[in-house]
Amino acid sequence: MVSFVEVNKTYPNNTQAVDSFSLTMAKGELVVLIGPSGCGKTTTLKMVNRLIQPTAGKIFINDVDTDELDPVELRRQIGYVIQDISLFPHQTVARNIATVPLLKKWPDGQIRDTVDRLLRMVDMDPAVFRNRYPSELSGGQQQRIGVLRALAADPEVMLMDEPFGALDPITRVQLQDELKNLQQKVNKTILFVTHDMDEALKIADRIVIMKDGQIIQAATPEDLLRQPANDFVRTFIGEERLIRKPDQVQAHEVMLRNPACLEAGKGLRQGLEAMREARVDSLLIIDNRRQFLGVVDVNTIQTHLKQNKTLQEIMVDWPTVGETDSVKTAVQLMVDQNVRFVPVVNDSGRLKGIITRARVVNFVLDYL
Amino acid sequence: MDFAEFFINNFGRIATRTAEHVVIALSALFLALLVAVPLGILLTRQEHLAKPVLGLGNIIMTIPSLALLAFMLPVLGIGNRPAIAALFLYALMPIMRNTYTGIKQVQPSLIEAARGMGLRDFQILYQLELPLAFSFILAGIRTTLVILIGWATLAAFIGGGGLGQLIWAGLTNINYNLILSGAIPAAGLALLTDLLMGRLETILTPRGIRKTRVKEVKNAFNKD
Repeated sequence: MVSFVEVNKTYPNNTQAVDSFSLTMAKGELVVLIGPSGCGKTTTLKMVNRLIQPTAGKIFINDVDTDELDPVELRRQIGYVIQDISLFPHQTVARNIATVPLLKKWPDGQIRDTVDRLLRMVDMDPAVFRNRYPSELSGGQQQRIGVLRALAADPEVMLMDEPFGALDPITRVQLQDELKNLQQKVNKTILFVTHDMDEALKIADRIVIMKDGQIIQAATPEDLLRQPANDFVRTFIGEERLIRKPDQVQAHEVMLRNPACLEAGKGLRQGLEAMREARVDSLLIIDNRRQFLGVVDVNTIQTHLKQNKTLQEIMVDWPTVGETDSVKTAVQLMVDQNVRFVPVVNDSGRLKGIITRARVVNFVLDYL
Repeated sequence: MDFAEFFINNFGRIATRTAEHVVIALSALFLALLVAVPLGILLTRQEHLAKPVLGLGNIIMTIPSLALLAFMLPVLGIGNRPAIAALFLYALMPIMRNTYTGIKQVQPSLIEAARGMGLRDFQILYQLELPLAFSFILAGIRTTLVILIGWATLAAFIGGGGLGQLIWAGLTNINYNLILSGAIPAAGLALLTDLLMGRLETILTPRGIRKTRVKEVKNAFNKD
């Protein structure tokens, strides 16, 4: 539907803003261009409607070379939304929305109906909003109108350049949701530029990550999170967003640090005290160098309370996992050995933390 | 003789001079608008010309008014014509500069949005830039006209008409009433013009912007 073929933009001072950009967008697809500042995403977007002229390569819309069209005619077939104030302040909402239909000389009745229909689509009562001026609207309302204006002439392709960037976080989320809804109804082919990863992950059918003018990775949000192409992509997405399977996450990322523990030489009463303070029913037993030795549970202590013993004497062995072992190993252990928790130790056997069933549930929830 | 009496006795003469005065000032303004507004618009399209042309205008402005009037004499003789010519030259610069600046101060993002949507250059000019620059340009015209009314008094010095005639005659004969009969109407004209043009500005400012202006002023106060 929209194809980029080896598109290049080099400026007279030899800066290469966009380098060999090739991409095919399917009809109805919402593709997000994202990347660090200066990566060429906005430049690429503006080459579609020829606000910026490519120095090489071609862009096709529906198999028509955009270079062969009159730029002005081309732009009237493409919806364009930008970040900054773009509604014409001296015109009403209705007149603003009608900008391109008027350029195309649509009949008045058709224009009026279109404006009303669009306003209703975003729950803005035409009777109330038709004759308002942009200065009388909130930022979120203005951007909605901006989007409606881009949709008015029913273009097949829309270009959106960080349209929600200037809005507060709450409004931004609202508009992202509304865009998704709208997209269900109108099914436009949309090229969307942003620097907000959460926004991209939320609304994109496909995400294209750019750096220094080149495409680093183009994939669905799911694939991107599962298989980032390289370290740059991993860092850019942010570790915490990546989907990792239990066999990729290590025990030390999931464990509770500072589990309830006590030296082996201490007495039973002290053990009880420690358990009560930590509100646990089992205590991890360590030596004075924090080496893990075993486990004592409250019942065992109760049984032997009358006898003057140390914790060492009543403790039992317990399976452990290493810090760098996977969460999967830990869970497997819990299942196989039927234990409710697994202490985590380092290479030399020193206690580092504990993985409990609650921690496992937390982990699962995070990645759902 | 007290002034009021003098005024009433010579009303016809004063009225005539006032009318002449207005004609001189308005003629100069009108001619200046014809030339300066299109020029100002042109400068926004041909940036490389802006600096030299505006610079030239600045130089003209520094020529003392009387001197400029005098320069006109060998070319255009005496009377109203050289006066209007000199005033025309003076009015060119402020109007041209205000037109240029008025258009330039339109938010670039608006222009970009308009271009991106498919408006042609002249459509952007007529539908966007001029309406938004209008009150700025009008403010410049207002100031210029008020100044022209002041300077039109000098027309008398080179044989032209207008209220300057009365002032000049009064000065030569040391007749205070005569001086006042020229000076007061001149000042009154200037004030009246300022007031009327102020009203005009408000009426003609597109509704959407008027409200923004008010908000801007309010915000400015709130920040302090």
